[in-house]
Amino acid sequence: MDRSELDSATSDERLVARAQQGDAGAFEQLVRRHQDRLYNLCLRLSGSRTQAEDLAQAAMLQAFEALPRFEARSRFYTWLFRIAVNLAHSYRRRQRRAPASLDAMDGDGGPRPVAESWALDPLERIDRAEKAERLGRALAELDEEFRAAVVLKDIEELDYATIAEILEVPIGTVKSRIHRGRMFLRAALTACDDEEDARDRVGK
Amino acid sequence: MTGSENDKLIGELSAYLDGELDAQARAAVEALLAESEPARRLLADLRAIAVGLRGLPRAAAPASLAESVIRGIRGRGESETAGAMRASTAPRRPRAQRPRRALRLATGLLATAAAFVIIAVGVRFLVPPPVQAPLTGRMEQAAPPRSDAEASYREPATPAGEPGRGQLAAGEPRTGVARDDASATRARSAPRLPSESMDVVAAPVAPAPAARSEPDGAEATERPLALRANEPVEELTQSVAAGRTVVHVVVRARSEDEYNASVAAIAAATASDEKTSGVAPASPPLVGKALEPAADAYQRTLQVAPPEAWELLASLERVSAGEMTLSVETTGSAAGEELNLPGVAGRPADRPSPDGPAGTEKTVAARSRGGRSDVVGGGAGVAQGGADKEAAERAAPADGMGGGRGGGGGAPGAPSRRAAGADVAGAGEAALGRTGVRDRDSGVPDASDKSPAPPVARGYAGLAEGLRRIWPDWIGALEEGARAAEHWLAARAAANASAARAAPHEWVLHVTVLPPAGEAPPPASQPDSRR
Repeated sequence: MDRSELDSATSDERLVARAQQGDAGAFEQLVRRHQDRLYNLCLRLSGSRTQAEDLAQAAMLQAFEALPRFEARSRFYTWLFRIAVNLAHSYRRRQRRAPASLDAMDGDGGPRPVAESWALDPLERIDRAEKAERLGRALAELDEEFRAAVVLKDIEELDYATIAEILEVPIGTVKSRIHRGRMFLRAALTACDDEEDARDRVGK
Repeated sequence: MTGSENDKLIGELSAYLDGELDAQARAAVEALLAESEPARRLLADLRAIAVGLRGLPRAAAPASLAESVIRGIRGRGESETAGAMRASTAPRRPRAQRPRRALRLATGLLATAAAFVIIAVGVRFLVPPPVQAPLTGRMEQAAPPRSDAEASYREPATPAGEPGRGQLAAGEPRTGVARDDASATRARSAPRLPSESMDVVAAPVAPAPAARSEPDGAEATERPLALRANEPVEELTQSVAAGRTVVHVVVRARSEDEYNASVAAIAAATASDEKTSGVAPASPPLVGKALEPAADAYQRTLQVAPPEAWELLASLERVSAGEMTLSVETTGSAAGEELNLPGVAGRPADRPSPDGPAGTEKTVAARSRGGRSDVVGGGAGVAQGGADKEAAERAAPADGMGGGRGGGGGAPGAPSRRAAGADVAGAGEAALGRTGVRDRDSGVPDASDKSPAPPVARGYAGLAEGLRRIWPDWIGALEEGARAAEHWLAARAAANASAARAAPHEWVLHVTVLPPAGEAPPPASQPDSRR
């Protein structure tokens, strides 16, 4: 844990303690501090901006309700993420019969994968944007449990122990899910490449 | 190095990439990489994927997110915080002593399944043939004669002349019936009314509000609402999750034993979700609250926390699929307050909810179509199926639950579509006065029923199907429990051949929608307004 992370965690602890004593303002600060990360996590887990906002909101409200019982055995954001992951899981379970449309990723969906670096050659920019889009779509198609592990590792950049805590599974399971998730992504991207190649050949 | 060793090391490549291997494992992976070109290519691919994922754009949370959360927190006020603080100081069991949620859930579901079957099976031995009666008049006139057991049942005390909570007053023109708690239950074995409300509701259930007198003398109105399929279920569950909606389960039972069994089953099935909240509950997950002091032992409202409410409401997605009709009735609210639930049409009643925060209390009643049984929240409802013992025995599937045997209840649109299994609508539909629906769903046979499969068998099929849809992973265990329950019931029924009515054991799902914090009520709309 580096210095800033340590400060943040300490500060979280202080805010949590104040919130537990009934200081709603302290919880508001926690909300503002973690909303972006939480929203992004929910966005990647749900694939929809609307659902992500709802999930993030529900997670925060649930955290607020459960805060008096939070014993700070884990860090606040870990706990918050755990709530969000479980809410997303519950949500997906109910939605299973109506799986998320990939179209939703384009419209209502995740962040639009536009390359930020305008110093790049336009073609390269487009190429990067396309790759990012393909990767985002492949991620959205991943099985929920693999997706959660991969998102927490590769997007949230958490270590395996923290991910295990959030997902409430052993570290060995985290390791396996991350690896298998990446392997699925690799397969999906390879299939996508093959498809494009085939399309190009037909086009020619 | 053997193939399996290679495979194992390949499986470690991601952990190697993430720096999560110990020195020995790392050395082994590096040895593999040194000698295997495919392994190096795979590692490069995995790295590219990890880098690509890290580079995916990150969206900032919309400004409305924090605002809505903060508004929600402020809306809950200090009292909730204080209450939660009190809960946090309550003594807690050590973690090791807390039963595992999975175990509790499994037990609860088994108990619930057993309850379904106890009721579904029991009635085929116990329910006397229905008494045909005119379509109008008081329901009590149509109820079957009371057995000795029934006569000994202590009715919940309700002041004379005052309808029970959530029920319509006598003389209401549309429903034309008046009930008390007991008669609401008895009414299920009453004759069927014309099927004007049998299909998916696409129009208001009742155009005119029903007036009723309240204990405080205030005149309240009830406006049954109908939710169209595909309309509000998601909003409802989200509203629960966001804490704007509170779910109560009302349990009514004929005896204390039944009551305790019901509560235990619900408690087990809806035990507070440690996984969701991340913390164990500091207090029992179900908060019992006597609805009527005189019936304290037999009727309680159990408040269910949002995670459980999600579970309870999960099955309502069947409404979205057009498989069930969902009716919502308002029975109280802050004066003039509009429902704070997107997609729900109608105006709530003009009185505060008597036992909760000012809000809109609604009774969610769900019923089946096409012979599927209603299963909302895992609750066991009153099943009034079967006619006589012989018919019931004919209907009894040889393999317990039957696994879909028994005719499946007929296709939608068939003349008689009933589910003798679970029926949570209970007082909800009683309150709606939708006696046609009630009796259609009750499984009581009538002369027009020409379908070969007796109602109980159809109920079994519907019940099994309903359970399969909701809890596919648990169905095996549920069926096991159901079979055991059936055997037990068969033995019990043999010992006690005297007919009696089915246990008036019903769970009613009440949903209380709290007014939005800090927001002025939206303008009133007509009961039949639609999105």
